[in-house]
Amino acid sequence: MKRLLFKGGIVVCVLLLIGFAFVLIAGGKKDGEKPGKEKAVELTLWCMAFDPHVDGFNLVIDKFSKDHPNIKVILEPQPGQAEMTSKIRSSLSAGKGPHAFTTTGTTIMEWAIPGNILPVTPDIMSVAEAKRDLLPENILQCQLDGQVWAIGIPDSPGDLGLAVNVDHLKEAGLPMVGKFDDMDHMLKYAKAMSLMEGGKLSRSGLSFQEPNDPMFFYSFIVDQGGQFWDNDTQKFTLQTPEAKKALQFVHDIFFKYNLDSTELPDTMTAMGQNLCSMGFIWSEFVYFAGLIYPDLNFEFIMKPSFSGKKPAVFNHTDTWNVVIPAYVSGAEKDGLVEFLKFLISEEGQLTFLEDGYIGLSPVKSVTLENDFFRTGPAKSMAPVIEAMKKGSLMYYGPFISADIMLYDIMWPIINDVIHDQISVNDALAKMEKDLNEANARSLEKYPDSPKTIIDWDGLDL
Amino acid sequence: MRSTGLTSKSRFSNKEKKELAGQALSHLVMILIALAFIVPFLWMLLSSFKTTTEIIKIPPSFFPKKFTINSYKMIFERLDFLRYFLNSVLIAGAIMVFSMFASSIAGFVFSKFKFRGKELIFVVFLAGMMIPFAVVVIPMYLLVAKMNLLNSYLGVIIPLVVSPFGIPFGTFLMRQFMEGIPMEMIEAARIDGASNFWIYFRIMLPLSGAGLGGVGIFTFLFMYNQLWWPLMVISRQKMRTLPLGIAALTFQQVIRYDMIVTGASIAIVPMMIIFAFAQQKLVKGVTLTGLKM
Amino acid sequence: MAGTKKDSGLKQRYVFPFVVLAPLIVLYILFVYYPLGYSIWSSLHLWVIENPLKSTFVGLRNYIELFTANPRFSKAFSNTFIYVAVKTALVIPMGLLFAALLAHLRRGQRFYIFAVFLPALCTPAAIGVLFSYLFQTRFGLINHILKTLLLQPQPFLNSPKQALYCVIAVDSWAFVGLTTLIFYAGLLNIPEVFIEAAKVDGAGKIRSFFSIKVPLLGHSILFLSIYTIIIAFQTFDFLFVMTSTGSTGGSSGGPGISSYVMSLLVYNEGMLRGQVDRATAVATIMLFFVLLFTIIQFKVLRPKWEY
Repeated sequence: MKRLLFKGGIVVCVLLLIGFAFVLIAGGKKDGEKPGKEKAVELTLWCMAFDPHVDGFNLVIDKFSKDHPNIKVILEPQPGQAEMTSKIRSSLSAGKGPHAFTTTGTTIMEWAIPGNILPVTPDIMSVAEAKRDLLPENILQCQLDGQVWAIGIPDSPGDLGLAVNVDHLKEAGLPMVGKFDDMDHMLKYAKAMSLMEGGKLSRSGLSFQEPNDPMFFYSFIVDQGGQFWDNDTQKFTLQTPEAKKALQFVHDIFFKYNLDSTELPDTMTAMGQNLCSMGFIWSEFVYFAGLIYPDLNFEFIMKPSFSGKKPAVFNHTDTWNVVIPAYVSGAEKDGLVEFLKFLISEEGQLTFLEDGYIGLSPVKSVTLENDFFRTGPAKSMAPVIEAMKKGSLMYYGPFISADIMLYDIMWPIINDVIHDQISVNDALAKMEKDLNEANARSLEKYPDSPKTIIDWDGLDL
Repeated sequence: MRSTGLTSKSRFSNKEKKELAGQALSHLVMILIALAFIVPFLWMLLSSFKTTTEIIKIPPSFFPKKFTINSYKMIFERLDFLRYFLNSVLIAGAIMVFSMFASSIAGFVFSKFKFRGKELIFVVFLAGMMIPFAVVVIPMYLLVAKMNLLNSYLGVIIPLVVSPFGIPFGTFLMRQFMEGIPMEMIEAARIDGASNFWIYFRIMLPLSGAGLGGVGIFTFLFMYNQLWWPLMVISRQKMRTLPLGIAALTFQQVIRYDMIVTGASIAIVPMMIIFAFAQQKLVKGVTLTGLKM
Repeated sequence: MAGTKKDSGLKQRYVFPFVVLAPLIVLYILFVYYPLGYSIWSSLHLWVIENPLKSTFVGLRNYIELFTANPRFSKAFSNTFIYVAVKTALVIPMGLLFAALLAHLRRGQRFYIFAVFLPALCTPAAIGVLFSYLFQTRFGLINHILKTLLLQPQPFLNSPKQALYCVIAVDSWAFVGLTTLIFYAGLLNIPEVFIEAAKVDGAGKIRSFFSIKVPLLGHSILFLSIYTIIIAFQTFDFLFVMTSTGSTGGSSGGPGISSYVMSLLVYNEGMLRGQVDRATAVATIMLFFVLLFTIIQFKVLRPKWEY
């Protein structure tokens, strides 16, 4: 009897194990591709788990599916920009993954050169149409084979200006402005809004602690008529008087003007905790903060020109786009093309912006002519649009290892400067050396990459 | 403790007084130490019942002024933590079962069989324990991606089974335990014509129950707490494990501390409860394996 | 017993092991040795992850560059050793101390063990995020306690100087339960004979502890030390959740690169920046050290199965 029970027990265990295994295999990821279903197509789109993007895409997808019921687009927000980029890399190298994903303009060359993504021309639009209808950065970010390699979504240049806490403005008795006339104007506001407590800064009036802030530093240089990159030698040149002035200013914010302190948290966190009145940050923060901190009021103020000589320049190297992995084909590709055609249309772009997101659209007509950016929800961008028309828009690139340059070289070094760990001169020398090395390494890996020529006069629109 | 001398006038002799004082002092010190370990968890639990704004209030308040289970609602509904928890249990459980089975039967082979190259193969097995995860993680990821196992349970489970605290460790321990089982029993069974599988199921397993239990617990705990591998393999929210879900709370642009304390509570409270009930067994298991090494 | 019976016995002796071990070895090759080889191989190239065939062989260049031209690696390298040293220096002596206290007490051990060992069981990620809340400079509990004690509140995780040590403290806090428990069990296992002998010789509690018990625990101490070193060397979880910058730049090691360690560097370089060659070079260096420590462990401790 015992033996029978035991044997029975074994059988049960084995069956359980098999069942278990079945559950495991079945309970895992299901491939999105369903061969055999003729018309209905299911597409997976990865985007960053950043509310403005998620909301924008959802709006576009809703509208799109009304007219295209047989194309289902599933949005999968990925937490963390860096994490998403890493997963994209592995999907591309494994040859399977989402049907489309968003990526920054700084990474497009890296995908395109080894042939891991498909050009969006001529399927979605012709090259001529792209050059005519889209803002120049969409072309400049990757000019491989003369094609266009990504579809842009609304996004603004990273160094347009500052976010300001409106309540602090009122508290200090300052009127709201759309842009600062000059550096002194900005510093005056900053000084009026910063608070001291026991001899130490308790609320910063001008925060410069955001990893994307090195873009501001570059533009400070260009504002003075300087250049940080030599088109002929294809090397970074940061040991110039303009660069020194620019970096010195950053240092001065902390140690001369006493408007920010490294004891206060980074710009975004500080703004959320009422520890910062005004800071250098990407302009979409204003809209984003409205979602995350409903009881705080932020507005956008365009930055002044560093030198005061001509309108401030800004650069849009860090665009956001949708790209198509090379492994997408057949019915899925066709469906995706339909979706992206809608996304890049005027209607699609305005749908993305429907909830009041203030990212600039890659479509020229929407950004430069549409009332959305003049009198509508994004009217704070009006001075930016004016400046763009006057040639303030620049493009600092393309560089293959742009992310490494920005986040692993520029920002840590500038961070050291504001922590007083390195002198301005040494920092500039180090930046120059490290940037050139990083660039050289990329060129070794991707010897076919085109030369980087920066137009220092501003882009014509 | 009490003086046995009934004739002494004082209740305790000097020596005993000194001992009592020593005991009291030791207890005092231990209590302070224990507090250092308990207070953070206590704080975590209390905070999980506070409102979002109370969590970031200055100065912080100990007890929630306004008791709310809002954070829990949000974390289960919007952030799907129940699913994460179940995923973790399923994955750790599967690895544990597979590991226990594989290590015990491999331990059997290594301890009771003689064949050429046995020690070499054993070293091959053990080497799995000595290889840092960092050096295999990226290629393993690419391999799993190629096998189309990303975002699947199997993709998480299979590589972890041969990771240091899975089969390598288990085999090592099981071999140790099984060496203690006398060879005569096995020989006797063999003479009786028993198959090796029979020997395994009816002799080795029952007799190494204690060690197997220890291995199982260790493996389950270790795999349950895994972060790095699930982090690499899983990108779909539904498939996340609990540690990954918690880590994801720090990926956001803005840190939500109310979610952090609630998430941490969800991860830690089950452990507290299990530990409270199974303390004896757990402690025994750990010390057994610890001392064997 | 010659002839067929012996032969079939031998065969049986080979078949069963083969059947059992073969599938496991396949798993090993797939998920341990192949990745190991890939790592080492790719670290010798300028590896193009999306298209490996386009990689160029560069020998030891990646390694040399790591040491000479990569400040993040230098920092991560020294930080890793600092982490190992400080954590070990904390958990071994504290473990001994707690174990001694526990052994000294007549009762109540169960409660104390519960308190001290509980963190060792918990998910490091959960403990990490909890402490990132406690260490928060403005509303965190720890600064609040400091202020109540009239001490200066500290920047903790926001400070390049303090961040690493905060994480080490948390890691040690979670780990010391394990060392305590093992030492405690070891202490309990010391035969009464030795303790009695010491008493007879007139040694006080403390003296007997240091001169008798600790040396008898020697094996455990050495083993745990090396075990701690090996684990600490590969530390990832705590740092990942506690020093995550969370924003666009991604990954941890902040502020700046002050609390970078090698495993984080592997993750950052390999996964986030796609520089697989650099990542695998770092990982191979880690392999070297871990193997070194493991060999020391085996040599010094002479595991039991050898005799």
